[in-house]
Amino acid sequence: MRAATPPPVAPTGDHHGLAVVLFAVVVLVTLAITFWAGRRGGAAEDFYAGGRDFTPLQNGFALSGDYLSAASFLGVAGLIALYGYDGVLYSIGFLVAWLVVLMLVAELVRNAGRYTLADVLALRLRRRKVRAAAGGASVVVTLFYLVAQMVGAGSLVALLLGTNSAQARTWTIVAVGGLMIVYVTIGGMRATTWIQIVKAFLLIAGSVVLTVLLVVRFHGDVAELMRQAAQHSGAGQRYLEPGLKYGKSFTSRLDFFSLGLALVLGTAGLPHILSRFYTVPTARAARRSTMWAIGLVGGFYLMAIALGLGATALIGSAEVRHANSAGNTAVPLLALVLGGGNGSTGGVVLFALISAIAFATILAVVAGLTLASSAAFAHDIWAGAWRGRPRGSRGGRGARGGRAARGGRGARGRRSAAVPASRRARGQTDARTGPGADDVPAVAEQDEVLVARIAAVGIGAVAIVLSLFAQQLNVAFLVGLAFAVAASANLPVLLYSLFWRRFTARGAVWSVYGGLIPAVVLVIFSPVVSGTKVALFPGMDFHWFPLENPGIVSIPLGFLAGWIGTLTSPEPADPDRYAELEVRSLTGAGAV
Amino acid sequence: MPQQQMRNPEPGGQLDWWAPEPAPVPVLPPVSVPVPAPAPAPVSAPVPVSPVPVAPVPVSGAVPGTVPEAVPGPDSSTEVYRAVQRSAAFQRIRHSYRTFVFPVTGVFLGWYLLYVAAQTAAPALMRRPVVGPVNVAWLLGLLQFATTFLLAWLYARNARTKRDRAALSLRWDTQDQLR
Repeated sequence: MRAATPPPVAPTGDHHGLAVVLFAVVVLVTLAITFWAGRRGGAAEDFYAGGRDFTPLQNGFALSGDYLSAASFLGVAGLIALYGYDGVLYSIGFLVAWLVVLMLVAELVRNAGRYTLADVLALRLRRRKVRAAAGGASVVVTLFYLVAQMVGAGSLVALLLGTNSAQARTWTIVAVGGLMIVYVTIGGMRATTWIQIVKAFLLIAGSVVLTVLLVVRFHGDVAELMRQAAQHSGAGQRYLEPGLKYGKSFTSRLDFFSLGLALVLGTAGLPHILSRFYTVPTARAARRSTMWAIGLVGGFYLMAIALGLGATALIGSAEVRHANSAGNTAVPLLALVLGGGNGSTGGVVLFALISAIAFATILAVVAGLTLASSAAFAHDIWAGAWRGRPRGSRGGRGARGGRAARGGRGARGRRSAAVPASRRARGQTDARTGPGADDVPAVAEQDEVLVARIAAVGIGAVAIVLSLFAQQLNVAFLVGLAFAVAASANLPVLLYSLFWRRFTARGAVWSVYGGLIPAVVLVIFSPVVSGTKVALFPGMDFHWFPLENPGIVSIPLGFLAGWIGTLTSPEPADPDRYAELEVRSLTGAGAV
Repeated sequence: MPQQQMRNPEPGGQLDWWAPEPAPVPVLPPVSVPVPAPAPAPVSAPVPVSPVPVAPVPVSGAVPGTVPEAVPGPDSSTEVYRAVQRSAAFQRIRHSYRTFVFPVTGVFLGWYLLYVAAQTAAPALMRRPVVGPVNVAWLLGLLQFATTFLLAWLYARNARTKRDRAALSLRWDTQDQLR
């Protein structure tokens, strides 16, 4: 998604006026949602989990909204437009990953945790080190992802608005960063969720409209669509076969396998996806929202494949590449053509609409990421690990009993157990994750939410600065890297905690760092950072790792490190803690 | 499948694309699930369970991360969780979850990785035309979509019919004991 040559097909002045107006509408609507939602409660439960009262359908839309970034909407369709079948491979990895989320993670995490991934680990491994490691890994993953989205936003918005100056990109990044800070600090999870819902609805609706127009254009003949796409791709039949993008050498194929592994295993470790499961009241609702997400994401990718083929068939790969070397404007250009072509009213309106939807997509995803990142910082690192036990250990067991009692009275009781205040009292670390009746809670909780809001500002600022420096980096690479880090650092420790009776705190710490460090180090010494013309430091060459995506090495290392750490642990696992985790995760007993 | 059309605990149940009929998971009153274990004796402490006014563990001075953050004394809730974990009802839930999820995860991960690896290992096979412009690679790719939807639906059905009721009643039962 680097700055490309000026787009020639589309942009000629007038329709950018409409696009600017629609962009402004998107900003105003999202801000209105933020202020509306932000007025409803400022407890930790509201800030981190949106009050836990969203329905499965709403959360299903929000999940797909969080997941379908601009990289999916524009990126995957663009890859298909340029590379045909090899682009399709991407979308399949993104979808199959949801089965891991559905079967192994969603319900258990909802039952065992409270706000973040580290909560699940802390239920059985009550060490600050564990919480700090998991929280730190979450911050790193979300930062990578955030930078990817913002760099993409910069070049994309500039492109969609028809200016391509470096200054426009810079100001776009700053503006997007500023907006996401406002969404998160003022609206918290409730506003973020509603923004995701609106955005997902717009995204799906826009895709349906384009797909219907496309199918009508081809009289429902999909085979003809594929033939025309192959014909106008410049590659002929090879467009429909594997290998156009990833077939040049064994290394590039291995690289693709590595990426595929990272995609399928990374989703279940993405902090902003995991924290979504806490916005619904029960594990069953978490499962049903995941089902909705699978339906929506799957349907969306099927449409994205059609749109990518359509862009090639109606515009041609050469034109798409000319507009943007990574193919990111394929869908807006297709909208222009389907609406009636350049200069027609229909084309202009459709182009502006699709551009505005892409813009809404970017805003929503960065908001979700910033929230997850600030939660990991405030809840895990600040309150959980750094500040330790702010209120001493008083109120521990007794409070837990009280909480369980309140939770034990049927559905209503369960909800009321999820009422604000006093949740976080003892800093979560000794946490049977539930405080409750103790005497000093509200202050600590308010402190933590305040820290989370400040962290959102800080993380947003860091992301803006990093994005300004990383503007030349390829966005698809950054997203793939975020998935690889999530799959290496977060997934092994999560699965071990949930399913392995003998897993210990040392295993957890080793597992997080054993995945995180190799992933980051291998990237530093990969061709992405040095040694090639498109690298971050094109002038230097210190790369020795041949692959761009470290997943194939770092994910097994994460699992291996957790296993070795557990075997060499000086103390055995605590069976009592595992009993609590297992009963709670599978039945929901004692869940918040 | 027990057709008890009781109120759906969560709104929106009729809309689920994979489950046309309202899911049969009634909110049950706390039913006593047989918990063959030492059970209630140490458990029935009064609300709020304050067995020992948990002696302030000397934590603040502890080196972060080297000392367990709470000393897990044998307390009543631990007993409850251990008892429930040993109970036949819980073992059935656990068994039905694991025997479905572990093999199925192996199958879909294996099938996906095979499919990705096939691009490298068997390019000739992947290029073979099947119908019109569709070749083996496209066919397998679309099958990945189909199996993803199918497995998701099977999992939801399995959970709804085999686990949900038992898990819910065990939940209330456990929480009653914890009270």
